[in-house]
Amino acid sequence: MTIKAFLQAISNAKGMQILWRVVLASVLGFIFLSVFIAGVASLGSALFHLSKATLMLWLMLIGIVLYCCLVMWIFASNKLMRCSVIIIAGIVISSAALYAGDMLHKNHQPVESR
Amino acid sequence: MKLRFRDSMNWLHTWSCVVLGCLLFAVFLTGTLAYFQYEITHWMQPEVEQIQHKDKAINQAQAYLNTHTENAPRWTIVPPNERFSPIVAYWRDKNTTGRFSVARLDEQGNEINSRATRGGEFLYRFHFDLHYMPVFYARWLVGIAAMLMLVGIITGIVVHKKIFKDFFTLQFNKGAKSWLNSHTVCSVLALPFHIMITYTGIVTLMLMYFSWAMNMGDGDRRSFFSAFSDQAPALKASGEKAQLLPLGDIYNSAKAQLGHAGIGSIIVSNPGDSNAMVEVYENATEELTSDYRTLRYHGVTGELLHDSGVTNAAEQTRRTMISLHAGRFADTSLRWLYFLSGIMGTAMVGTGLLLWSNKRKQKMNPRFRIGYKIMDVTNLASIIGLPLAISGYFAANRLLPLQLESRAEWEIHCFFIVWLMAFVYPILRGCKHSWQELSFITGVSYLALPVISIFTTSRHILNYQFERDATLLFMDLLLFFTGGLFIYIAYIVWRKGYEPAVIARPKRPPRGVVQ
Repeated sequence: MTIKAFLQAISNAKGMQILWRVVLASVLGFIFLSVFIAGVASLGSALFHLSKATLMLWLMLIGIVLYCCLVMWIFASNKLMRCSVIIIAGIVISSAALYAGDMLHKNHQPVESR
Repeated sequence: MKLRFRDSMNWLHTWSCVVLGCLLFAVFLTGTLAYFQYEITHWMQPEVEQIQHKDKAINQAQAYLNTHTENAPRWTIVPPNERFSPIVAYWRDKNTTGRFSVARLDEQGNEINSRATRGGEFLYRFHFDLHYMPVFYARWLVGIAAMLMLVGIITGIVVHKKIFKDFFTLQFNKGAKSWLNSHTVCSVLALPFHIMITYTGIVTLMLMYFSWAMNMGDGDRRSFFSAFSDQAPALKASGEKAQLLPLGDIYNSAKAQLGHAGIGSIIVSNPGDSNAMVEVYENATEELTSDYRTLRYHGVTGELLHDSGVTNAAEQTRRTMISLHAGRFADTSLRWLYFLSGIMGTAMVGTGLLLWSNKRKQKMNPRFRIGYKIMDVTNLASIIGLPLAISGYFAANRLLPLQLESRAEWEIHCFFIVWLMAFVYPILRGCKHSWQELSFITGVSYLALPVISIFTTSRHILNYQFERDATLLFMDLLLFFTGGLFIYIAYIVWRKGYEPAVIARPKRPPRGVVQ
């Protein structure tokens, strides 16, 4: 059995699909939201010279509604594989934004305070 | 799973609400009762008189703390409010570690020991801290339940797409359709409230849920919080002794500064030192929005050192959300509206659980007999058992010996013992009889509470003075009403009869027949 066939078999099993959707919504979805909040706040504050804490607090307030929509999308989507890839890619991109934001912040700091 | 959008939302609506449905019911009901937590505490401590002169009472509290604390570096005093509240003082002695010492004081500065109880505060804390488990895990559990509830409400609007049409064409006495109609009524009538209370409920503990994001984004949480507070550095203890000004005077000065805004707490740092500092915190008890000002006074000279407020729009929004959830700003009529909407929410969860259970029974699989029974028992123990447990809590307040050690904790134990009995009863007696009998027992227990008070308290329904004891009278009338309501439910169940789920046993093939 090839890997592709194995993945196909898992994705066709109804119980496995539901389990994966639950994991995707509760674990990966929450990780994505947390990293997204931190990443966007970090990069946004560095690029637009905003207060990072303020931006983060706004994102948290909106994040609750975003998470609700994310859960609904995960359970409504018929293309589970695509949905999983988008969320994992979202985590990676948000992490990159967080890293980039941190770098920009460090570059903006005076040398002696680094 | 190629389902239509509405089918997948139906699945999500059902399971998101059912998974922690019983917990949601408990959180909604106790949270709703918490809108009257001060009135409940008043009823549970009828011997305690409402404080008339707050500044004098604060001075008496200061005298109490002077004599009862040993080198405590900080005192916290929660002043009384208009509804009912003795002064609460917290402190931690320098040489002791662990929990704070707490004293509840009357107007003369004497500790209230007459009827030790947690009162309505227990119901308030239970709705997010639960009990018998670490607060951290309890808050996460309640947060997950609240998130599922929010998902459930939004998907519910999608699922019951004709929800508003159904609301105007209600039909009762139609079996399973009636449960759906009851669910619709409870959902539609207070839909904006349900969305608001669930969202703002998550916002109250949001900083805990997103602490990982805060740590990732801001390095550590202290820098995050310091971004929202404009605090001048605190005074350091000098080691020289000096007399602290009467705190009642500082309280009056702060009242003059804050106008009609409420005062949440007074914190005294370095009491007895020449660099004593008094901080007065504004609370949103009068209006929905507030500046959340902190007034910092020199404790010896009385000089106002610093006046700061929350100016950050995001933080103001967060605090307004919390204020909207807690409803402390609400006057009596608005508080009743909060209460009734909360009861609607509780009924929405309860009818939803029963609707799901009834639907499942119609197409039940005999292989899951035990599962259906567990479902029935938990529904019964939540919907009828929790109100019974609350009446048990109130009854314990009246019946436990006044000098019992850890009396307040024993009242809470009684709450859980009665709730446990409500779980065991249908297991032993069967659900067929339990709905009717437990409803009847709950009704009788509520009706009995004001009567028990006659024999166990000095202020009861036979000698209330209208103006002074109006809160106690309303509580008693509400208990009578609740008792009557549960007896009516018992009557309805008795008249209509309980329709047990007919679970067909799987047929065994005759011996010798090979399938």
